[in-house]
Amino acid sequence: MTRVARRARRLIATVTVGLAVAAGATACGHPEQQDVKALRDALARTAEMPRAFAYEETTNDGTKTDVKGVVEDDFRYEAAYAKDGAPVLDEVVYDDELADRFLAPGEIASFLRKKAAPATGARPDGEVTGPDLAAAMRSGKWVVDAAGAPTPLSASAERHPLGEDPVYDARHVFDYVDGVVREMRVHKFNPDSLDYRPNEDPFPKPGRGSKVVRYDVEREPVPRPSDTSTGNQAIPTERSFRKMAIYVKDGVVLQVLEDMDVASRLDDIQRNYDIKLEGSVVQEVDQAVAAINVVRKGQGRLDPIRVRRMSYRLSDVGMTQRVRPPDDGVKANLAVLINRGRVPAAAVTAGSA
Amino acid sequence: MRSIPRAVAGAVLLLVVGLSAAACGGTPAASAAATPAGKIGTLPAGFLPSEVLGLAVAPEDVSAQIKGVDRSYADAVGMYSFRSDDLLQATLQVTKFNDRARWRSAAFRLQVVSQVGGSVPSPVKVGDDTVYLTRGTKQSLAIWFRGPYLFVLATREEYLRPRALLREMLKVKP
Repeated sequence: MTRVARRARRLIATVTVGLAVAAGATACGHPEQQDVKALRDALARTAEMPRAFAYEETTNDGTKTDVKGVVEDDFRYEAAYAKDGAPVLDEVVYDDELADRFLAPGEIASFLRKKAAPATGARPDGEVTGPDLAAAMRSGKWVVDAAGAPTPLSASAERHPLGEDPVYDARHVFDYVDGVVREMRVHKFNPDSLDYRPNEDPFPKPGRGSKVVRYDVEREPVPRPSDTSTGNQAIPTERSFRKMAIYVKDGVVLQVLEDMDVASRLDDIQRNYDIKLEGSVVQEVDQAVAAINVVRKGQGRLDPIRVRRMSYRLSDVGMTQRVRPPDDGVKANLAVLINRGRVPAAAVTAGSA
Repeated sequence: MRSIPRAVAGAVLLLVVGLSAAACGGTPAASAAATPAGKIGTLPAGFLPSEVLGLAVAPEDVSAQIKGVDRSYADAVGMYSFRSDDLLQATLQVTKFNDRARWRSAAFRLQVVSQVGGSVPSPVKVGDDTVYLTRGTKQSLAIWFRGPYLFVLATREEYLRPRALLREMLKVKP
């Protein structure tokens, strides 16, 4: 059989299978809906399991973030955050207790709340405050808040812009991915699909015989300014840039990869919005995203688009993990830090048992 | 047994009545499956330690609250207080479903959970247990199931060790 004939047979087979799948979909629900359900089930299942994780992010300016840690359950975890390879923060949550150790004093400011958290009444004895607390955080020693564990639940009243708190981002990857899956179209990776474009796929293919299922989030086109139903000018959202693949094996998530790929959409942005970007690709991406974020803010969408490549890799899923709190530390109220410390119920929408 | 605080009594009444609404739904068959009025018993306190994390544990008398409850799938209820000095820090309500309740059904459990607290309960994993967290007025609520038993741990908002207390209570087996 000639090469052309083989390709023709493969195409016919793909189309035939596609038609069969489509026919089946009419009777049994859309395959994409089944994919979404299977993926969401896998996310929920994995989120409940003890695990080790490695979260890595590289932004458009090349800044690299690493958060490595283990999760024993929703009340116990430990995480180590490093920026460009240099350790920044170690954190342990053990039931009610929160322990933080800053290893890069220059980074402390980025974790401080802009507004002080409201007081919550009784506090444990012997806590340092004011300058002593600041000195303790700069000392490189553990600072321990006996009642400061962050709520394990999402608190929709609070904003959590990506990148503001890498430990928070790493802890909430499952929520983040679930939000993406609910919002965007998802399908199983299929290299034989007529829609598949290998040159636009930055992610590794599952190995042959590995039984790994890859779920892909479908990136949407860059809109035109007139593509709007709200009266506001339509602008690109994350949906126009996000490439995401979730790798699942035996119903358990192994890895999540995300590429907020603006670079490949620069031509579309310039054409659709009649603008001219200049400089290197990195500079053009910066200009485009800065402009989009300004319009987003004006339209009330406060969280900016973050151009990044992210990997969240899981290991030892389902295996017993043991988190241990530090043996000693300076006692303090760590509600001075974002996403940490005990805050009144009114400040959050969900409980913190 | 101590005299029951008003807030505790309110919580008991809420839950037992709530169970009747969730389980029975007003149908004749459901009504037949319910525990008749006046037949809901009280659970003993023997399965709880007398002290947990420095808190004194004591059973509370809820007989008056459950006396008039009709058409419930609960056939026994226990209410226990946790005090430091005289300050009530937490309560644990244990409810035993009767033999006809569908307590093995995930849908039934979720229906029960959804009636507790002032916000939609969120599941979290604590050890091997799934616990639903929500809020009541000035208190945090944790809800979990153990066989035919339903546990509701309510902790005062100001209490500093709610998760440690929850983890201790998860060890309890009636």
